[in-house]
Amino acid sequence: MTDVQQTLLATYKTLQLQEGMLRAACSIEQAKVLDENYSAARKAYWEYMDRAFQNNDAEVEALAVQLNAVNGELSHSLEQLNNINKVLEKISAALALGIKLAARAAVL
Amino acid sequence: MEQQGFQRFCRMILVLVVCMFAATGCKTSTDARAAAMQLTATAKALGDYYIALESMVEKSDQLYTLQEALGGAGYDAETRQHVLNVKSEMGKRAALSRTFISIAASFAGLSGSTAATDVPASAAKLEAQVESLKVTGTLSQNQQSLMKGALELFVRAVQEHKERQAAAAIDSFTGALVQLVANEAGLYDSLGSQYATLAQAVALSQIRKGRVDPAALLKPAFEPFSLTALPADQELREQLRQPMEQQIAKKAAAIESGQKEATMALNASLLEMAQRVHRVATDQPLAIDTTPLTLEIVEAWAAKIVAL
Repeated sequence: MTDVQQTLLATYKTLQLQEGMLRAACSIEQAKVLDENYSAARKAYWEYMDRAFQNNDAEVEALAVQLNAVNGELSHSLEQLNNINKVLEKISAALALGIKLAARAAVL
Repeated sequence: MEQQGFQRFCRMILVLVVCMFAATGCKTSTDARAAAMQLTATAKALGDYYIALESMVEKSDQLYTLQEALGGAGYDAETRQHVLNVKSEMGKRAALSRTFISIAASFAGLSGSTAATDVPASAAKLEAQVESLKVTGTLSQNQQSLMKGALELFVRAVQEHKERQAAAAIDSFTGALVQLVANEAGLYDSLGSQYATLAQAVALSQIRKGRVDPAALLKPAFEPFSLTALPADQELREQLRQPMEQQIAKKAAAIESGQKEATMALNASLLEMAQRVHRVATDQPLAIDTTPLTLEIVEAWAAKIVAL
């Protein structure tokens, strides 16, 4: 698996596994944001799989490195679960990069 | 049903190949047929592997729908289309593998057979399937042309009963096929990994809501005495929540590691098959005339996934 594949999959899997636990800790408004983020991560992953682009683009690589770093922070935040707003903020940051990555792949 | 038909077809091909074996005594032909048998078995394992992948993507689609119905995130049409496209790509690869089996049989039956009249149709079908594969980063235009060119050469060689030339054409095709599978292996493993996590997430969400009956976990205590547990109450479900979660995590990890092992075994089998075909193509004797042992790992994994 390339770095891009691994990073995108890791982000999506982390959200997928933690979604139930996070939902229980969310208010109705926060749950809505969580749903949107989870759906966006899933879409980014499948869009990527559908296009199966090559891991040979410098911009994609750079984005993958950034996403990987944010993903590490996200995993750490999920372990704590004591600040749901902070977690949602990290998810949004990871997602923004994931979507950018998938969009970049779409034009390759 | 389709799977049974496919298995019956494969058995027929093998019987045909064995009959061809008995009909000639030439060493080159014997080696060519032995290689063809291995080719047939490997192509079948490859097809079964793709059927299992297709089945995992199909189950993922069902799980997303289920997740939405159970109050989880909505499953939008665009995402679903991407999922179905991936499923379709796996289906195309499975179809290509099935056609490759019939090509292998034609190769086996080169000498003194009627294969020459049968092969153009099979090869044309395979060529069309290669053409229909979505050209991505994993299969370049060049590789696609190489595979098509090899098939055209193969048809001519079979029609002229030129065994070694046919082997050379097959050699070229299998080389490109090995490359395709090796390039896509990471994507295949990713599909297995996401499926295991998705199934795990849906199951865990239901356990947390107290909607799962833990009766199966009590079997070791009651079955030896022919007893059955009463339907679990909330207290029992809560007490057995952790063992249920552990069981799910263990099985999800097994699905993921099984997939990786099968992918590695498939790559090894394909490489071994390509090397054997290459020996026949370059007129070297075949040292081993049995099918690659790693095929059993692929077949066992594929059967397990399809049965889930």
